[in-house]
Amino acid sequence: MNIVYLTLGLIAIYLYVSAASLLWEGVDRKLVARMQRRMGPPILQPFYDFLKLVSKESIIPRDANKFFEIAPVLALASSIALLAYTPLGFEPLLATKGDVIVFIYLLALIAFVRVMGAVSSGSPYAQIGAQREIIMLASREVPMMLGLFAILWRLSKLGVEKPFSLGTFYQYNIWEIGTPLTVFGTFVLFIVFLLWLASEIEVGYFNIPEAETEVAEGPMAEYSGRHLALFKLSSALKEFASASLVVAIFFPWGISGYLGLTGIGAVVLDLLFHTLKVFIVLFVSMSVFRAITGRLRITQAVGMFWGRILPMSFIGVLLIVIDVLGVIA
Amino acid sequence: MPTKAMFLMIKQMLQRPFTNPFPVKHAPKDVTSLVEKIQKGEVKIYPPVPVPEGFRGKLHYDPERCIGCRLCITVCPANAMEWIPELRKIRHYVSRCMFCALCVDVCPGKKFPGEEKAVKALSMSEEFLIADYDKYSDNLIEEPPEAKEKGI
Repeated sequence: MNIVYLTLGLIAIYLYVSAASLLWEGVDRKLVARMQRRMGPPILQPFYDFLKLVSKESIIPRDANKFFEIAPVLALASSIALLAYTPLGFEPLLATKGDVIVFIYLLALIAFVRVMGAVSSGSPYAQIGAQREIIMLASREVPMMLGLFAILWRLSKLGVEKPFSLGTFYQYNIWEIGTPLTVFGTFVLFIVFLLWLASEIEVGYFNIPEAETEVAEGPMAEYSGRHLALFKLSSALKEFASASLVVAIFFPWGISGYLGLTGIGAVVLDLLFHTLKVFIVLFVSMSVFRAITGRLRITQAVGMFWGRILPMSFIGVLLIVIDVLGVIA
Repeated sequence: MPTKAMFLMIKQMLQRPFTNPFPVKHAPKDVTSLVEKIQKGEVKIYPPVPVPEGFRGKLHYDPERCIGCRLCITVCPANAMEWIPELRKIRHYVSRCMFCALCVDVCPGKKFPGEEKAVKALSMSEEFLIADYDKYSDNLIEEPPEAKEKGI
């Protein structure tokens, strides 16, 4: 594809995903409010919040260094770059062999830049939040990577053009293999991915780094004004991209094929359908999860990742592996 | 996973919210135009939660019934009453008042000819929306009208 079209496509995707992810935040706040029998803010509230933050004065602490101001820009830049590798109902813009590593790297980079910004602020609250964030980061990526690589490896056995690319989910999906072991293993991995998604966007049990009542917003303690607005936008984009990964792995079906659409119409329709699926996955993993669970302590969360979720991931992966290698015929 | 809580939350999501949207459901774009519309009767206000019987709101002072006994000044724990010697009446500052109604209890009142019982000069109203820009505004000071005219 031409590089000009790629750029235009990325800008269009960026604008669309920003609007969709902020819209989801509004829907989520409304839904959680209704679960607690409140009326909740209007659906467009995150847009007003964003505009207000942009228009407010941004205070730079005296002890902050240069990176404090660069970090929000870098975080937003990495989330925009992430969108070029995110499956959004069609193959990612820059889908190539092995782009899954880039995806995981960029996803981790956003959290890492957040931590760097927090450490640069010179506030002890932000430092504690940053420590917790980095501990969570180190724990949560392992089960996810194990499951993701296993599924991509299984799909590459079916003969795909670009092995270990996030585009392969649209050629074959993991449910199609259909043997009982794979289906069961995939289901286990689906639960692992829902938990991973909740920890990636830090809700419910895993709302530990940003714990408002304990460490005063954690990494975001010193951010205000437009710097905070950039961080909020980048975390909204990250939310959408992470949920897109879960949707692409487990529910990659489009509807344009059934309606016989081709070309640009099919892309738009698939994007809208994908957004709907992302909203449903986020409803389960974010809204419900955050309404019904309190936050864990950081030791409990790390124990949960290494003691429960990683073994779960192992079980799912082993079931798939046994199925492929035919150890038990 | 707390499944029971999940079913409760899903059930609650389908129920009506338990909120009194006072004064209007959505925050108005422009408060002044909203007030104008309410005065014209175009917009209806959701009433606040009704106050119970015996509610102690803003103190109401009737100078006609005041005999100047100064019992309310003696009994007021918050020092919200001021004696006006020229008129032998009192002045009450709502911004200092703690709404204990001790002054209402102690007020002997005055009996006009033709009445059976004495009526107290002080009484608690049901008014509780008494926010103001200035703690010495006319709305927050109860005094005899002569005091204001003479500027005492």
